[in-house]
Amino acid sequence: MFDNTQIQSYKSITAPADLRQKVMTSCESTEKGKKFPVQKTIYGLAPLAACLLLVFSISMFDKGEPLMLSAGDIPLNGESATLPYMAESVAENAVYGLRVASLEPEKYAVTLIGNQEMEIVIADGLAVPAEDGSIQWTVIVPNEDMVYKLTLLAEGKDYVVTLRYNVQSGNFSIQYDEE
Amino acid sequence: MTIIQDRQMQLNKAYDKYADMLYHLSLSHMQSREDAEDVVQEVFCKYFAKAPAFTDEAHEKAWFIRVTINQCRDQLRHRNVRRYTPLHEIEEIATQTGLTDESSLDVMHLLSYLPEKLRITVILHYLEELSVEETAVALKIGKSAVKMRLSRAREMLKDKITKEDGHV
Repeated sequence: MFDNTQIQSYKSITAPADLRQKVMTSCESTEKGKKFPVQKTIYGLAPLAACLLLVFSISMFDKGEPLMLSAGDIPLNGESATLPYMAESVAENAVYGLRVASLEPEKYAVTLIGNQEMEIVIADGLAVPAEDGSIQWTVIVPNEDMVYKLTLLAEGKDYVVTLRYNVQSGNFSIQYDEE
Repeated sequence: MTIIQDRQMQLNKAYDKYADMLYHLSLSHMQSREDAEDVVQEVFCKYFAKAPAFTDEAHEKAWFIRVTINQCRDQLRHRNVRRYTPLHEIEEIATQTGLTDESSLDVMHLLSYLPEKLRITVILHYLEELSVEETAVALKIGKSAVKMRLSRAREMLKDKITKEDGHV
């Protein structure tokens, strides 16, 4: 489609020299909480959004179309927590169990249990398949609101598990979507 | 060394490794230098904030590509960009980015004719030289969908070139 000259020409495009400094400055200010006010506002609305999603999910489930499930908040406080009510309430090929445990300060292990083979497509943090068929997903939670996504492939369908950490409440909220 | 310093060092390393690739990927997708810079900036900030752990280099590269594509899509959605960039703007973009040779202009020109879904597929497969499988993973679609998009893109460009009496 493109000849070698065109490909090489495309690849020779380099990032502007001053971009590195912009990136460093921007990332540092993000770390200090000075950037992304819009996103922070959105994250601040996460509990409300989670409630709306839960209501929406339940209504979808009642119609026999379990497309989405918001599993609510998981209080951590350094202990492990399980979401029993994810079980049986989603489609047959869904993740049906989820457990979050504290590994060490700022690091949490999320275990996703499915009733069939799940392939990890892409994950924020580290996700690896375990021998028992579950998926061990390790995320680092710094002292700020964070959103992590894990995309799974099961029976040809993509599922996105979204894990949100709310620094104010100290809770995780989990959202599960079929794409 | 503190955790922050360690993460800054990781960020610098990742920047050295991926900045150029993410920049030309974003630039060809967004067709705007400012937008491409914003995308690259956001991607590295996500990397810095989330400190993702990767199983290997391929996993790391896939993460950067995936996040860049998502970021491009977000920006395109928010600014409600038109699907096609008029020809007179292509030369302007190329000049802004220093791409004044004919090959670069050709590439930018051709990509501008493609709708977003086809354009990103073409960029990943033909220009970033990802395999069909890697492209499928990056776009979260099946291999057959990638092949179909590539075929549709080729057809569209062929029609366009025929009309212009040019060559790809």
